[in-house]
Amino acid sequence: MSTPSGTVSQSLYAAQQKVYPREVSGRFARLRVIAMIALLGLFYALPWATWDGHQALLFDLPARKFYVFGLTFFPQDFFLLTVLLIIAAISLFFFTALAGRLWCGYACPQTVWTEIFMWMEQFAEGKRQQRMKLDRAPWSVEKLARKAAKQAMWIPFALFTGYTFVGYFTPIRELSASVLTLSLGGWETFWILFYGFATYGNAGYMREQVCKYMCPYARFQGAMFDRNTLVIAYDTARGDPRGSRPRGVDPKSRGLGDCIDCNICVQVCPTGIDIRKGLQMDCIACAACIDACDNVMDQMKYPRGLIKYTTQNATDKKPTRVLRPRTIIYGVLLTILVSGFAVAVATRTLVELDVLRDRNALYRTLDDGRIENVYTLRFINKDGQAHEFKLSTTDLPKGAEVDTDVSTVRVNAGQVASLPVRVRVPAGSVAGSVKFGLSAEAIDDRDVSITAKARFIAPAGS
Amino acid sequence: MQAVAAASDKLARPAWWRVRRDLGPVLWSAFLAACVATMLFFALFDPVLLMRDDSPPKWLADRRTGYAAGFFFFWMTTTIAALLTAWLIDTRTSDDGS
Repeated sequence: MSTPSGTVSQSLYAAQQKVYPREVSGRFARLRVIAMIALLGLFYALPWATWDGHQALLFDLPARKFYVFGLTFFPQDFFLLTVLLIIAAISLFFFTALAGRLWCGYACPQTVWTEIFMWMEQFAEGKRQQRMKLDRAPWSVEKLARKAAKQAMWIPFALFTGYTFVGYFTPIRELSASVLTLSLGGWETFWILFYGFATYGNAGYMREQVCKYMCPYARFQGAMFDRNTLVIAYDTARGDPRGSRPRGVDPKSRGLGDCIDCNICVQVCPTGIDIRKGLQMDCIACAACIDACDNVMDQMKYPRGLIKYTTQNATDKKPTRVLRPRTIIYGVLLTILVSGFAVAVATRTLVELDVLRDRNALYRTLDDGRIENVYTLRFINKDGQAHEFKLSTTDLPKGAEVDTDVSTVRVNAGQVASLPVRVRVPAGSVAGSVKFGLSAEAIDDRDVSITAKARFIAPAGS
Repeated sequence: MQAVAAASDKLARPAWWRVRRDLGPVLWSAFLAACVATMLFFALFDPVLLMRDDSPPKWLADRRTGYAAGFFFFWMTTTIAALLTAWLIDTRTSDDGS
């Protein structure tokens, strides 16, 4: 009979011990701040960049067009997006196999926004001890003022984040104009509040619980780890047995290791774990404990690196290999996909033609006995310049004619144009149905042409 | 004895205990699946073209509304699937390990 695990599974959902991370300084903290400023700066600034008179990065969902600097993508390019997502996934695998949870520690939006929300919290409520004291204390004017000050920073920042996020999908300059004139549309308002609330909740309150209970990557990243993966580890052989000692005393004389058991590595941990218990799923590899421990080692005049980036092999005094089947396979896959993606983007057809059959009638018999089919042509011009197209048909019986309202169709850069087309063939020249080609050639540039297949339907056996 | 203890734990649990415990993962996993479904579906189908023939209700005629309606429809469907899964695997019995 096994032990009742009810308490274990319940603990996942029971009230959590709030983590009060202690502030930390050092090499990796600096690196994390640089990454945070770069990534957040990029996020908040990019929607304001323009390119060729349009927003440089705009995923215009209402118009079904994605602008990425000089390129315009349409839903027809969806497979490119799929390839891009696969590239992103394999990059994640590749870097995880090489260097562990680099993504979690430095680049994940959850980490980055949590970090900046914690800055604001610290600014309003003070350092770790002060925050803990404040939370334990009964409500007072000071507590109210400090909590209100925190919310006064969090809420506008979260709303601005939501607003910027929506700015990737709706032109941000128009969006700012409608915010200023209070004429924001219903959906924009909804999504700004939705993303604002998500930021506020995730970075302000959920924090490490997102990594522990919600993030799928945190659950499966262990599968990419091996003995050569860079992890953050405590050097048990050097540190144990732990214990406090006066400064300047040789720990060996007291039977102690280098760890003075100050617990600072636990206090700085944003997920509230003890790295000295070994590699854990909860560790997001932010390296805060390395900085904290290095500072303590410096004070004690011990060598740094009691907690450090290392590999399982290095810990076991075996050589660490960067090149190994796992990294080679991921690397080769990544190279193939990235170069394939680059070629596909560079050589993609800049003009597309869709033929939609008229849905109401299969065919129409004219007074003079000729048979007519009606189509709607959709021209998609992904090129950076306008084109003017002339139509022609192939594989239709002699005497066939193409009738349109205009002789040429002008499609502006990045635009879609529709054109109704009537195709007529002489009586009796087609029985049943035939396939034929509809071609559009740009009269301004003979290299730009496109052919689409269509079906012509006539009465059977006429 | 332990099984009895586990069983009485179960009885002592407040009403809605299981729903409360399962709802978070159910909604979250359904949300992720709905995001993927929405992206794939609307990459292939334009909500405006989908509605052209059958005269959509006026409130659905806008693409934005179409996307949002599609997303919430997918989220509802995936939530039903996730809820049923959580219900059918009977998360109650795993407690005493039997």
